[in-house]
Amino acid sequence: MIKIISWLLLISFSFPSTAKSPLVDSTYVGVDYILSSIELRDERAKPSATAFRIGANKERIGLEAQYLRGNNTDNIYRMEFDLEQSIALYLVLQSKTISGFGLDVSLGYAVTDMTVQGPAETYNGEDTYSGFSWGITFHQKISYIENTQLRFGYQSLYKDDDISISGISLGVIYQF
Amino acid sequence: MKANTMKSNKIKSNAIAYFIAICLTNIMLFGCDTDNNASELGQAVTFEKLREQGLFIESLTINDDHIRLTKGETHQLSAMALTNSGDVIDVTESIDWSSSDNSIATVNEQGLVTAVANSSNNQGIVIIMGTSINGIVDEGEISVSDVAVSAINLIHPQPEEGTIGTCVATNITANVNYEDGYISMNTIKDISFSLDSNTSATIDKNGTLYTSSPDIETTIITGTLDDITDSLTVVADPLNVGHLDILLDDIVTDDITLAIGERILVNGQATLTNTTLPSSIDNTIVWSQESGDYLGITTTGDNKGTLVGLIAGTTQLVGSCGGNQTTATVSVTGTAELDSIKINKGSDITLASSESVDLTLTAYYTDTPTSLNVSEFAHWSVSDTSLVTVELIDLGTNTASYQLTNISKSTDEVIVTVTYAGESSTINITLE
Repeated sequence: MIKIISWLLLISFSFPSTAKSPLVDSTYVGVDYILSSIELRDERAKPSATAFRIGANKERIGLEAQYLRGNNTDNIYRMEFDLEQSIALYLVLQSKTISGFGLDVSLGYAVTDMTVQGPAETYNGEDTYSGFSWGITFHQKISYIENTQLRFGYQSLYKDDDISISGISLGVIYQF
Repeated sequence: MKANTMKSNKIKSNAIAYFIAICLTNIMLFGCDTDNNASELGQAVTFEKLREQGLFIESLTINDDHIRLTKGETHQLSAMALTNSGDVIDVTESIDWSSSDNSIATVNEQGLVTAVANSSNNQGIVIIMGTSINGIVDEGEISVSDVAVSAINLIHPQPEEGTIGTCVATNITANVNYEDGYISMNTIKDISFSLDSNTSATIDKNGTLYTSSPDIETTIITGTLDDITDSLTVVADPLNVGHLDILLDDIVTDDITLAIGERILVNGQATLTNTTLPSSIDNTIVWSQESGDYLGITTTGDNKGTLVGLIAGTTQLVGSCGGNQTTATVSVTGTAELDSIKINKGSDITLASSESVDLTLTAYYTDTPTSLNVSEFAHWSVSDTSLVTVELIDLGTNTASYQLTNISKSTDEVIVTVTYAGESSTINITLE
C-alpha cells in the first residue's frame, strides 16, 4: 500500500511541471497548521502538526498529496502521544468558486505513524494507522496576494472502534 | 484538422484523469487497514484514567461464597476491591462473573447465582469467578445439592471470640454441616433465630443482634435449621461504649427546633473507646423525652427516631444505650392549641370475620396545623382483647394507624377507647 501511495505521490509531484497542460487545469502547493485530536475512550491528546500539500485539478476534480509532520507532543494522563508523520493521497471534489469562496471535499487514504510513551505499566510503542481518510475545506481567495487562497478545514486521518485521529487545519495554498 | 487534434487531446487527458480518480477510489474503498494496537492502547488509556481516579483495582475478594444451595434457589455474591488509592470499594456490579459449570449453577452480571441442578459430583461444588476490567481475578465456591443438614454451629464472626460491644449491632451466622461433608460458611440461610426470655436484647430475622443493657448481659441465641438446633452464648459488655451523639441530617446536634406538626428524623451514634470512627446505633438507642408531651417520638420500627412537634414548649430529647446517654434541647414552636380529637371511622363499625380496619386518630388545632394524625401517640384500649388483635402500623409516618383485626368466632361487640392529651373518644365495633 505504501508503495502504491508513493507511486501516486510521484505522479502528483510532477503536476507543477504540467501546469496548464492538457492533463490539468491548474496545480497548487500549500502549507497548514493543524491542531490534531487523538481520541481514545473519551480522552483526547492534542499535539499540533504542520501539513504540506501539493495537488492538481481538472474540471473541479483534483488529486492531492499531503505530508504531515508533528510539531510537538501531548499527554493523556502519563502517556505521551507523538504524531510522528502522516502521508495521504486524496481525490478532491471542488465546488464552483463564488466571489473567491469555495468548498472542497477530500476522499482518500492516509498512513499515519504515531508513537506513545509512558511508564512500563501503561503502553509504549510506535504504530501505523492506515485507512480511509476524508476532509472538508473552505477556502477564500486572498485578494491582495495573487494566486493565493486561505483555507480552513477539518480532516479525519483515521478512525476505528478504538481510536480516532483527526485535525482542524488553517493554512494557505498557492496556485500555479 | 487542428480542431480534431485538440478534441483528441482533451478526450485523452480526461480519460487519464478519470483513470487516476478510479484508481484512487479503489485504493480508498478496498485498501486494507493495517494492523495496529489501538485496542491495547485504548485499554491502557482506560487503566490510566482509573489510576488517576484512584479506582484501579489492585486486588479483588469475592464474599458470601462457601454456601450450599438447592435447585432453583438463588444467592447473591458480592465483590470488594482494593484500589490503587487504598480504598476498598464494592465492585459487585462492575466485574465480569462466570461459572465453572453452567449446568449446575449460573451467575449473572450482578453476581446473582442461580442453582440449576443438584449434583452429587464433588459435593456439587461450582467455582464462581470474578474478573475485573484490568484482569484481576478471584474465585468463590458454591455448592448445589439437596443432601440433608447434619449439624449447625452458631458463630459471631466479629469479634470471633470474647465479649461483644453493647449498643453495636452484631451479626450472628452459622457454619452448616451437611451429610456429604460439605460445610456452608457464615450463613443465615433458612435459619430461624430466637433469644432466651431473660435478655433485653433483640435479634432480627437476618441474625443481627441488638443490645442496649447498661450492665454486662448474657444472651443465649438459638438457631434452628431443619429441626437441627445450636445455641450460642453471647456476652455484651457496655465497657467500650464511649459517648453517644444525636444526629440531625447527619450532623451532631444538641439543639433542635421544630414547629407543631413538623416531622423530623434523628439518629444516634456511639463512639467506642477502642475505635476512632463512630458507629450507628439507630437500632439499639432508646429515645425518650425528659418531661411533658411536647414531642411525639417513634421508639420502634423502621422509622425509629422520628420526632413530631405536638405541644409548644421546650424539652430534652434523651437517647440512651449501654448505660450512657446523650441529650438535645428540643424547642417546639407554634401557637396552636388542641381543640378536639376524632376517630376517622365515626362511632360505629361492623367488621366481618378475619377482616381488619385501620383506625386513625386526628387531633384538631386552633391554629396551623389545623389537623394532625396522632394515632401513634395516643393511648388505645379494647374492651375484650380475646376477640380482636391490634397493632400500631406505619409508625413514624403521617399514615400511622391502629389496625384492628376480627378473630372472633361469633357475633360480638368490642368498644375501642382512645385517649390523647386528656381527651377521650370511643367507637363501637360489631364483630360478625
